[in-house]
Amino acid sequence: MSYHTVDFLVLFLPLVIGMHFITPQKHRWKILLIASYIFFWSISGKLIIYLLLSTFSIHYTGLWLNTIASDGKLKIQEAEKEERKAIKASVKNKQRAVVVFMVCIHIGLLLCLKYLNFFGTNVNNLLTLLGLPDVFPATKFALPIGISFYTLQAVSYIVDVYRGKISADKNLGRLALFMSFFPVIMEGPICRYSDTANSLFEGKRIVYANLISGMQRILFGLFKKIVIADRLNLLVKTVFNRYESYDGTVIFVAMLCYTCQLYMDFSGTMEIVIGIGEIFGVKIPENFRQPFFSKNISEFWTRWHITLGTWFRDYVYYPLSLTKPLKKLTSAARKKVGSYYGPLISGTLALGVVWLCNGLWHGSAWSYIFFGFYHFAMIAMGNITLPLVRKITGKLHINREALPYRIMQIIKTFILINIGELFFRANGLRAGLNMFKIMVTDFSLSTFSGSTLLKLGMDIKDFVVVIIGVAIVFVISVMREKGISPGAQIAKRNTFVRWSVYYAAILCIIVFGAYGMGYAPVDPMYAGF
Amino acid sequence: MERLIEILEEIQPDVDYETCTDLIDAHRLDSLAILSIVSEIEDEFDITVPTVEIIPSNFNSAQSLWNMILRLQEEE
Amino acid sequence: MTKRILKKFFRITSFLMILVLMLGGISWIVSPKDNRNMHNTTANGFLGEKPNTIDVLILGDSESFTSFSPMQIWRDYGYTTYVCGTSRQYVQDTYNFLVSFTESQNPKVVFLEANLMYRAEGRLGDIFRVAQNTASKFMPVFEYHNRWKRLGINDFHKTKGYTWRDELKGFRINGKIVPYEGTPQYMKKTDKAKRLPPVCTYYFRKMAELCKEKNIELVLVSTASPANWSYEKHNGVDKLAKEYGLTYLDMNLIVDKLNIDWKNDTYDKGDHLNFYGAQKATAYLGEYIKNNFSITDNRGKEEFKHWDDDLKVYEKNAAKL
Repeated sequence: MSYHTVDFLVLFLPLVIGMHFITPQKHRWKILLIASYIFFWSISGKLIIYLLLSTFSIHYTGLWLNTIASDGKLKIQEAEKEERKAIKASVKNKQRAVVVFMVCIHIGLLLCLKYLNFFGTNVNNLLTLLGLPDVFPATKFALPIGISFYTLQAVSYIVDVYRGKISADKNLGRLALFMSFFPVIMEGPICRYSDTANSLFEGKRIVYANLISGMQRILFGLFKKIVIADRLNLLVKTVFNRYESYDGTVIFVAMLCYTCQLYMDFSGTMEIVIGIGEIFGVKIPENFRQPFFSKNISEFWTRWHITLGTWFRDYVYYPLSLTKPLKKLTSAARKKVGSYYGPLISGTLALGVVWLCNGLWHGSAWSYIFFGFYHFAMIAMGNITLPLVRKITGKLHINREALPYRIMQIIKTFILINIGELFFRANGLRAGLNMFKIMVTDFSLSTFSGSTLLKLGMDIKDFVVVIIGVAIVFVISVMREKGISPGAQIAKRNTFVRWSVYYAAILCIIVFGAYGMGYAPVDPMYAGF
Repeated sequence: MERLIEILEEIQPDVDYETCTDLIDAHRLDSLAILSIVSEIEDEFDITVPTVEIIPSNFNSAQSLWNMILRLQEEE
Repeated sequence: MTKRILKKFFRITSFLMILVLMLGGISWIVSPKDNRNMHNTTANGFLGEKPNTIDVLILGDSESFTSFSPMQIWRDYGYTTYVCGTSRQYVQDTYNFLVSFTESQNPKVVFLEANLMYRAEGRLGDIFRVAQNTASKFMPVFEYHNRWKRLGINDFHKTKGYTWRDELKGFRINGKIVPYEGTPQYMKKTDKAKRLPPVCTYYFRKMAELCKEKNIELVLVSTASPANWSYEKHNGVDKLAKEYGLTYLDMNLIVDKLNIDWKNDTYDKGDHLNFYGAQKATAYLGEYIKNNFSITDNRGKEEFKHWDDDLKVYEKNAAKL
């Protein structure tokens, strides 16, 4: 059962909405929690034990940190003035030890479940190379759904309590709901306790306006996912699984299709998720902000999978680049190479770590590590060359804010992103490199004129549906980029117009959706990460 | 406050720090500039800026930065 | 307050009602007007047969349409048989086939291939699937929406008329050979019985009741399949048969009597029988029908002449192997 299935949309969700509606406010959070556990259970069954363990452990850790702090306060009140600083420091140290320990356990568990096999295989390969016998038995653990997402939420909770940004939650139920809320458990967005926990627990009444705007977003999400993404899968699957049989043009088209598929799939699911949150009066953070309007890779990552980016920024990038040694490096370097390149050294170091983590987070394979490294290299290069670019454009009197220049930048970024996604999707790093090679060496425009493209799993009617679909998404993206909410625009019109739009959307999804006979069902793509 | 604005101008010129209130939200300061600012004000005002403080609302204007510095100095 | 809620409730209801009407309309447009355009084409081929001409129905998943050949039974005994089998069939589809088959036909015997009696997805999954299937039965748009690509002018005005007949009567010929290399003694005797999933026993009850009501003999049958069958499953189905006072014919226990040669008679390592295995299983089934039921031999009758035409097609297909 996932968010785009009939089971979920026609049975599960209406049932939860109904139950939520008739339950008194005080108990509504229980409905959401039960629904979340049923949802989790229906996908991962007994593996729910992992989620429960995580929940209990962060609940306990929060309270533990509290106890340390209040013990410390007592001591401070009794102590002499000179000693106070020392006590404060020891409290901080103790808390830090607890946090480090708990974070290690959570991340460690994730690493064990996800990467032990990858690590073991690579060590084995190395040993074989050296002529030694294998030491790691091949083990594949069953992964509970959403572990990569809720683990990051757990870590952010503990660290935020430690940093004093939030206070530890005494209510286990609220924390459990924050960790398991069914719309976000599968593939995020990665929420922060301070953003969602209270509104989840509050149990606000479902109001008509929220219901409608939530439904609007769910419909738009389904359109992106079922009509566009799942249809593109026909072609993507064909080409990526047997890339050797195709020329560069076909691989180029498949690359564009895959990037489009991934975007429509992931952002579509996010529309559904955020729409569901809206119905229950919970503001789930946005995960996308028209990423393909970005002018450089670094901006792209502030618009694509936003909550992962900000998580890495807040819990890896800044903490790392503001450690004492790196801070010293920054000040020292600034004096030598100026205020642009000065922080770049430590910033780039931290960035490297972030992108290694980001690559690995997506999965245990060399192609994901490469994917992370690729983006790291692109961003670092962009940073290093920025002053030079500024100088050149300045000399040539090119207006960097003018539309043609911006469009050029957007296209450049689009192509770079596509190449990254090619490696992301390819079946292994070697396949990715081969595909890239074929694409740049064996490209001929004649393929476009023949019927080759229509033999890859999508016929001409499929292409027409996809192109119209993408055009609709494009128009809506432009509106959003300009700060216009398409949903609010529709809601302003009279009943006839409104209902016509809704009926058209629903019927489009049902008739033109790529589901049922002839289509392999595609689970939300990020749910596998 | 004047000293702070000097620092800011040295790190990222072309911005009117007296009036601007969306330094982060409008992407006038990027993450690298923030690293510079933090290391500079730590040296200059003898404070440590913990990671929690690195949030847009603290860096969106010179005034909010200044408020943060005063607050951190008090806590020292 | 209540008045406002009622008003909104009314709005939502009327919105949904109009939606259902529209879906009904689109369903009518996209649903196939002829059975040759239906999904599960061979299993739906019976819709093109003359009413009340088929005496034996075989229901089941892929095991049924690979093991039992109605044309062979026609050739050897003159009984009219049809196989309503589909790949990975779920028991509620089986029930639906039985219902729609008995609407136009009046079979004397129904064989249920028992492999599908263990196909389930867990309680929750089964409930969802049953609900989904029911929905797409009433709203064919969910099943046939993809026909928007092939809609012709007929789809907008013609009413349904089933014109297509399957010459093989639901059987599918497969002449490939991929031997089964496991032990021939895969049916190790045990007293343990594998529990049948509740969704299966529920629909089995409905089928048994329907058969009783229409005076149809229901027989459980298992074709020989080392990949699918075991003694525990045998015991589970056997218990069910006893409970309803029905016969259970398990060919896995009489592989030697059937003379099945696992090196030659399967096309996927003992999962399904191929054409050579099917001939042996069918021969046994034909003999079983002859000995246990009184079915009319219709060979040579004028109204069954098309069965002889279909036999020629069948034999031509078989000769091509």
